[in-house]
Amino acid sequence: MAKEYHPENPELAEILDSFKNSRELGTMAVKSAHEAGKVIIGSFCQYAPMEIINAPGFCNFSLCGLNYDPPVPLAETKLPANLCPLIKSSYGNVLGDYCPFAHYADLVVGETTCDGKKKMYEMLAEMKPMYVIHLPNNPDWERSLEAWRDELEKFRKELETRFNVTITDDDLRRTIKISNEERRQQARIYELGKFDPPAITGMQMRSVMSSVYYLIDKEEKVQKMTHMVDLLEEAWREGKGPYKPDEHPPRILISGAAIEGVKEKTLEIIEDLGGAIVCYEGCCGISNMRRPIDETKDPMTALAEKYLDVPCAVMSPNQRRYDQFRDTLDEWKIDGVISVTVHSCLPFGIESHTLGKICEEKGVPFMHLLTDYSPGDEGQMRTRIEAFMEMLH
Amino acid sequence: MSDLKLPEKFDEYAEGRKNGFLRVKAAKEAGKKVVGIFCTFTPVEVFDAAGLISVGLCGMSDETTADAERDLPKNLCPLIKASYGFALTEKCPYTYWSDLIVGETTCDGKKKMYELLGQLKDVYTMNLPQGPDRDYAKKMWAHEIRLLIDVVEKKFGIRVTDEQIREAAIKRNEFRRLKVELMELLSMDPAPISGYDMYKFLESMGFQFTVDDSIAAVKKLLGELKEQITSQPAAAGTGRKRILVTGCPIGGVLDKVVGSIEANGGQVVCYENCGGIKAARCFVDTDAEDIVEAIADAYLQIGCAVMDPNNRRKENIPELIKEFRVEGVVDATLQACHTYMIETYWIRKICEEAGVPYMSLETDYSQSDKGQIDTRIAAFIETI
Repeated sequence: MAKEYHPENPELAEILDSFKNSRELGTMAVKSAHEAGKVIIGSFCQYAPMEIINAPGFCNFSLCGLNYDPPVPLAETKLPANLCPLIKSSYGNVLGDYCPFAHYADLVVGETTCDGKKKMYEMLAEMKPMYVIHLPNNPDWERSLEAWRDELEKFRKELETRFNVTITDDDLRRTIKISNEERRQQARIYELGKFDPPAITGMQMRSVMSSVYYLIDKEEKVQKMTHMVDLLEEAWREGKGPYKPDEHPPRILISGAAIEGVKEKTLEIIEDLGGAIVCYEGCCGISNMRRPIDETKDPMTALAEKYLDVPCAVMSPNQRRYDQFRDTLDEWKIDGVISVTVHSCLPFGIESHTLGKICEEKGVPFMHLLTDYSPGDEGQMRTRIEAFMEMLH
Repeated sequence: MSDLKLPEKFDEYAEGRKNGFLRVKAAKEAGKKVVGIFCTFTPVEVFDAAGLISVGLCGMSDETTADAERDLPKNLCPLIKASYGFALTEKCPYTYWSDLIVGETTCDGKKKMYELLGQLKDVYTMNLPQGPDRDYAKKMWAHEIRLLIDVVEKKFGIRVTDEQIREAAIKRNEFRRLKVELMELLSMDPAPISGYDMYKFLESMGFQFTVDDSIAAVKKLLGELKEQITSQPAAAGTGRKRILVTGCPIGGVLDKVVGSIEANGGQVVCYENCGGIKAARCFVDTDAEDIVEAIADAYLQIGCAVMDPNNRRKENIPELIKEFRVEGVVDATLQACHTYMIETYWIRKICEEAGVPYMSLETDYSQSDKGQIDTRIAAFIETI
């Protein structure tokens, strides 16, 4: 088993424990939202502007598929086998009606991020009401901001028309304020990894991040996260963190995308073998959390600017990611980087090459793990991680 | 011009490749500048207007795949790997001599490969909209074309006027019209030229140095074919099955796919691929007040699978099936080309609705599946 943190503080233990089973939390949350008559939006990416979705009180749930069987083999009856497992899993979960979030979704929102998702959405539209926001390829404001702001306006109008609601600028200012706070607290969770030794384990970061996602009441969510991080910092100061004060495990940065679906064979093994995952970079990592929305600007412009700046590998060029990656190596005092990408994910797969070069320049050991949701490569993953960890110790 | 150095390994190259290098070198010594391009989305009118040579750089063989795989994932489209590999190994004269390479954000693989290519060559990437139907798409693409004009002007220290661009567009339209006329000859039964030869000819147009040369070459072939049709009228009904080829760029797998179709009793009568009729029928409105917008508009009509949604292709294929009296559709995709692979779902449906047999083939630039593909194609043609 990977290292687990059992704090002596009963309140903290209870909070961490409540975040253990995100899947269950999510199923309960979507059911109760549905029963309360709330509009449910299914989305995939961090590009989905949750501030617009939340403004009229709609709930947003992620439809990213994380499991292999049964959705992936089912999806492969219609989609190419040689495709990212997250995309196949997401599609298969809708096709087989295995996903409670998709089941209850009144509208599914996608963005033209990667080729696979973009084209999968066209097929998903045969089964669910679907709206695709066109994300530009180039993040340069001069070239893309106007079109992107226009896309977000179109999306806002789509929600207004489809569900007969009005989304005012004041509604948006309110959701922007709370989501900024939400991201700030999420960043603090990753920042717990900056402590030496870390004040949280990497696996716990993941279970907390994927569970807080399902706290629909944002005020409650922010409060709970703030309190939890405060308690974790306190425990660390008292020398009661997950590591003994004189323990200095190798500090690992995880980079990449779609890691949630492969965490058992990658992340868990890394911590099992004595590494401490201190931060995540890439999709759902620190990058997006530290980019707040400008609260002083016109809200739609501020939203457009923020989301265009998300340094996902679908952006070309994606200099922002490389810059932030370098900074993260220094700020978290990283001893080794493991880039985890899934089969057929071309943007993250290709960018991994550049991350490796940056690490080489900075003298930080780097490894790229290419894996899939399908079973079979657990042994190979373990062997490679073992070799890497041995080199770090 | 002593700064025009040949690649280090030039002496080891085969005769044909050496000649390619020397041909471009001679043009450069005469003061010409070369722009390398990849896609049918590239507005070549800009280069024509600027007096630049534009050549296609899409890699067509697996000669350099292993080299490319040092920097790129193995599971990536062979065309992308080959294009990068030829740049890396300095084996392609056109890439090697390119003063500027212009790409577009089309598919994920190309878009990200261009970033790496930018470390080897001067690469400029245009920002293609994600779909043709948004009300801002034309404006956005026109803006990108204007940015490209700026890039070209700065890079080569020249001025490109709208009038020059309009003249270039008129000429390109003529070239398109002639190409379409040539391709339409295949609607005859029997077709006056094999699909294989037709493609080889169309492909060679990508390496002509001026559009005038291209126009002259098409006119010549058209004349010969028309002459042949009148002088030796063939009896109708050769029994060859009339095949439409669609999918990814076919150049790198032409022998495996088209060679096999035509060796097994088929005749390719239409290419819906990007080198074929799809882009050739996208004419520029040369009378438009804003010529750059007119060019943007024409290029956005190309029904490429990177577009979301790609209704143009879905509408076009049933029409082509009728026009060319197609009896079977072969959808050839390259390994890891997600957009075209996923669209096979729709094309299969469209063909089913049209009552035309359909086959999807996924292949790459290696020779390992040659026998298997040949067997599958032979069986397919037999069932028609």
